[in-house]
Amino acid sequence: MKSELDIMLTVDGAEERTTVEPRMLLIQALREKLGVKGPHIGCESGRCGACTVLVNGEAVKSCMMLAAQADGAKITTAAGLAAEDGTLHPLQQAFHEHHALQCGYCTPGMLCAAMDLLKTNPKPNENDVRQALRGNLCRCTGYQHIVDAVLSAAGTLGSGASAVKGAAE
Amino acid sequence: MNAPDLNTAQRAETGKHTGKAMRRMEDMRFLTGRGRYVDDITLPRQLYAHFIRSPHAHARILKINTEAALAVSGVKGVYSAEDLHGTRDVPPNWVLPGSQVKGRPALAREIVRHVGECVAVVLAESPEAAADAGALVDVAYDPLPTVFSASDALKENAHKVHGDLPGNIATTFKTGNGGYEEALEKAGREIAFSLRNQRLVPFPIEGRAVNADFDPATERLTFYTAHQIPHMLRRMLAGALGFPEHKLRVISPDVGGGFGPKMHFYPEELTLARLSCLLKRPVKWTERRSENVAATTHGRDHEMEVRVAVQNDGKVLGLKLDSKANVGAYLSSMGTGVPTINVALFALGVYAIPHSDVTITCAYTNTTPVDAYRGAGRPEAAYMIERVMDRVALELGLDPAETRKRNFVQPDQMPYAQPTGTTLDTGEYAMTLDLALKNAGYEGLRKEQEEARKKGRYLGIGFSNYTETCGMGNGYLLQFVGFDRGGYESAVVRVHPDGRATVLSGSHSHGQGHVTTFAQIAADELGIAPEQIEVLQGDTDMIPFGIGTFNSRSVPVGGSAVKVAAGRVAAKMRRIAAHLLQCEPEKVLVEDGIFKAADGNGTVTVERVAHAAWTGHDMPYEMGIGLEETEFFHPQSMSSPYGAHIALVEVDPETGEVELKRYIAVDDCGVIINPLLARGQVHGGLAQGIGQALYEDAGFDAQGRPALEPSIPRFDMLPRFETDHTVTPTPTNPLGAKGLGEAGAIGAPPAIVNAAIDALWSLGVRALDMPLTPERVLTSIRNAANKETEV
Amino acid sequence: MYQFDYHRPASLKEASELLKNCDEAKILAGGQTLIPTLKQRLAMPSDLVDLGALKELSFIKAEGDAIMIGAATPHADVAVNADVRKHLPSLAKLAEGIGDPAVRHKGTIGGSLANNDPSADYPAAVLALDAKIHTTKRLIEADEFFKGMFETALGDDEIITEITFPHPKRAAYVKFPNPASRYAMVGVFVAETPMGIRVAVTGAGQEGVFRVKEMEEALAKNWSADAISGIKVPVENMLSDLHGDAEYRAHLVTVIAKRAVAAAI
Repeated sequence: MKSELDIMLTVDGAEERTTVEPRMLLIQALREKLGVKGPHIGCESGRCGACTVLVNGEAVKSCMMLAAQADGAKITTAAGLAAEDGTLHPLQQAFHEHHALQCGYCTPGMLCAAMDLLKTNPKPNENDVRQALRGNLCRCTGYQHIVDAVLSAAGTLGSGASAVKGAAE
Repeated sequence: MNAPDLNTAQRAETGKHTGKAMRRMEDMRFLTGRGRYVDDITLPRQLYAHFIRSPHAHARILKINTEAALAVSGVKGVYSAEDLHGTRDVPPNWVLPGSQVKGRPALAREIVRHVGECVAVVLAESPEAAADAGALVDVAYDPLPTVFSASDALKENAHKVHGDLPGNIATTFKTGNGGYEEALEKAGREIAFSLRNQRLVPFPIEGRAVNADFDPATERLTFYTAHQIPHMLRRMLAGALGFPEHKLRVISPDVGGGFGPKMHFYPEELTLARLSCLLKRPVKWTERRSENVAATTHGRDHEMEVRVAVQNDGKVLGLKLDSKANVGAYLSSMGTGVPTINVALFALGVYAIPHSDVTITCAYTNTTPVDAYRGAGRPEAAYMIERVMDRVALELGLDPAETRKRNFVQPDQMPYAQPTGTTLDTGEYAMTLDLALKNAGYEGLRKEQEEARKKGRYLGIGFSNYTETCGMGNGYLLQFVGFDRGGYESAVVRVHPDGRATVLSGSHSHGQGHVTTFAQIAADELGIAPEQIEVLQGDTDMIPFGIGTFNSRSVPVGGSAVKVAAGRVAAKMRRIAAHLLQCEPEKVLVEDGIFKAADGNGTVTVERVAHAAWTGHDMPYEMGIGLEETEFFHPQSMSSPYGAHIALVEVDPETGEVELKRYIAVDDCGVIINPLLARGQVHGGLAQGIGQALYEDAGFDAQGRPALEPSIPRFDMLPRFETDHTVTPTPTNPLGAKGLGEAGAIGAPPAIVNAAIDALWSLGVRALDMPLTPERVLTSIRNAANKETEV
Repeated sequence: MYQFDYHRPASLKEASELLKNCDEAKILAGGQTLIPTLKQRLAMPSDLVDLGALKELSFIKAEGDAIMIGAATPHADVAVNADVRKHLPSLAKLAEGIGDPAVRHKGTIGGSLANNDPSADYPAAVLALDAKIHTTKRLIEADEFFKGMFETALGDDEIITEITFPHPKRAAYVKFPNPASRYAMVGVFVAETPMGIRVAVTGAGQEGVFRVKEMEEALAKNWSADAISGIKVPVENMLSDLHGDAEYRAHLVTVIAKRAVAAAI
């Protein structure tokens, strides 16, 4: 039996202490130890991005990182993006407005990847978005509504966007 | 370019809420990381399963050594076929009459027939212990000869996948009215070629997941599963398990994408249900991606030889199709139906082709079972007939759009019975194609193509005018093709005493947005806001019955059930309101939850009406208690959505890369309930169709192992789509809606391949197979060049 | 994953000791290849030595005619670093084209080189630019470092500390990626440095990254795409997989090398 490790994570603002096996992945610690179910597992190779979270503000695939590596880190998941009063983050709101999610399984990771983009490039164009989010697979949307949502949140949604007529405004 | 999106969606009459791009009410939990999928559910005394799978495509199991595995701390047991006595094989439930049925064993007995087949299962107190023990289960195999493709399996000396089944034939299906040779004589010209729909891995981002929970106190089995058709699964599971159906509760919570494979019944489900009953503990299993690519059903894998008799003016007089479909090692749920009925009936597409002769043979092979995947047979049919149309045009030097127009079934011929067996209910194909041509700026594109060619650049334009049928029904007809499910959908609409409503639906959303669209439909009937309506689904204890979500049927059939049930509740509310307002029910108007008489001053609220209905106060006795109606909407026949798609590609002749520069889609799915969600469905289908055309392949290696990482399209691999609609309502249901979830996946592959061939036609390239990998395209260019020099 | 012990040394010395004293220790440099490998139970180390706390290994310095990059520097830092973009824009572009942002945040240059995946990008840059690889024990020349697929000159307890790149007169990296994984099917790094002209190819060779001397000689005489358009690499040394067979890869090497020459600045 290998020695277990005590780790401390700040997850969506809350300090959490837990004990993990050295081999436990960050995604497993979040889901199984801390009950944080937003990030999902969609592959074994790190190619799908459904587990993406922000580790100290940077997008990381939490299935490609050991929980032990994250000891002391600040983790943000989709559940931590909204304001305390429940008001959605502008990016979440844009996802809603642009129908940027269908089954919702990739969405928490997608939001974190997009947050990372907007931090490093607050005014992206369409190509920037497509490049920055390429590590996150979605099998439902064909991506266009997600692109529009991210551009809209950044205020860079141009005339090429998918106009929605017949909206119930 | 600015897509003129959604501008025709309003052409049909819609209501206050239907026809509007309402934002989804179900979004909030997903956006805040609070979706609830099967893996999120962990029960007290939870056990975890880890399956041991065959690494061989065909082998005899000599010995399963579990000693080391059982020694791992936390292991409850290791189970193989002999531990599951009394469990039948997983039966298919669409079996074409005359088929040779080989169902999937829960756990393999003696022989394994495909890579990934379940051989044994470890149950343990933690997923880690289960996996650790799983790595220690030692199975000795004696490999046997293999066969992977349908054409190889149908060769005379092919080895047998099932020892007692000579020839490996699962079924043969023939249709059409014959007369091809006469048509050829009359037409004077024949075009013949072969095509292939490669095998695809459906790849929902959430794999399958199960938590089977037998409760010895109540003797009930609660079965959580990521599924598209919970009631059908309950029936299939109860049957195979020998478990009373009324004691079996299937719950399908949030589901992370379906695309077909999550409507089938699987060995893992049967095994875990049995073991939960035996051990009286909940057993959970979450599929890993490597299991998903090997053991969850695949799609397509269909080889075709097509010949058409064509006149010099491009009119096609006859079509002869001879094709071979790979069903895999066992028949999955719809294994013999999808590659036969769903292909053959649509072989003539939207064209009036007088003579046809279709033969489809389904073969067993040592591969993962093949079953419905987005489009399910119709993509194979559309790919063939649409490749034919562009090929005819290119061979004859005609315009492909004009060639199609010369062959279209005309609006005044509707409903049109195709001699292959389907009936097209509606369609104004030329109108839809013209809108696509206009949106594409077709004439300009041809000029651009010409200019580019002068500079050594290869642009190509490809077309696709697919059709399909959706909204599967009716049951009486379905029995004749061996489809052992009903052709209806259920809805319960209940208005509560506070005036809010619940809709229960037998459909099941795995991303489609039923919670919103069904609320829009009910809201229009009930005269209350959609936000006042909650749509519930996915629990067989709660929903009367259901057929579920597949075949783009949720809106046309499930939505129609909601409309009819809500309409009946609304009628009763009007009667009660009329009594309260002291006017005739016909005079009662309702809007935003307020009833008023058309010619009077008084109003009553929906709460007052509902209170009367549920208390019997202020209401004549004869009206009866309650505001609840159940509808099993059962369409007489199916609807025929269709569309016109145009692809613009550029091929790099140095590397063989195909760049999809533009994709123009005009779809006609009849009346649209929510144009925003409809567009989401079109986009998603296109992504999968483009994926098939350009990137995806199950990619078996020489040992029959599928590729671990199929090339699923990413953000930077797809263009911005230009979508639009025409609206020809269907008469087959009260919504006039036809369904469109599969449209993009059906329409896109031929449009793109046609475009690539158009780009390279002048270089002598006549055919290309999917996916259009750079290597494959470059090889075609080089082969064509070599041929040229030989001549 | 099999079980292992985890260590997060605070110094290089401690890290070296751990590597020496543990049974079958592996270095965790970023983990973007190692962790998926462990998940598939394809490796069974007794211990993982995480270099994540060694901040002294994460740096980019420009001194004189050289750029020094610490071994634990993530790809994302290389991609945006002002000195790299100024003196070695080809390397910044290479780093920007690796995987996706999440991978670039964790993956490190030292990890990539030590792994020497045949379709990784960095080996092409190191070989073409004739970079120097500094370790806890010595300095290794690029030509001596790569020893075939997944093989390097590194000893078991040897840790890469720094890679020193010269300022090239001109250089470019052009990659023909697998569209989904973005691994190089063929990647060609061409460079003219004070030490000479080099052409290094990744993604294509059975033995991992390799130089095409014939192209180097041709370019030395005439720096132009035309000068190498007739030079083919031997098909029998090429990789072959689902995405492209050996013949296709050999063809691509010439096509992509021409494009790299044309793009070199």
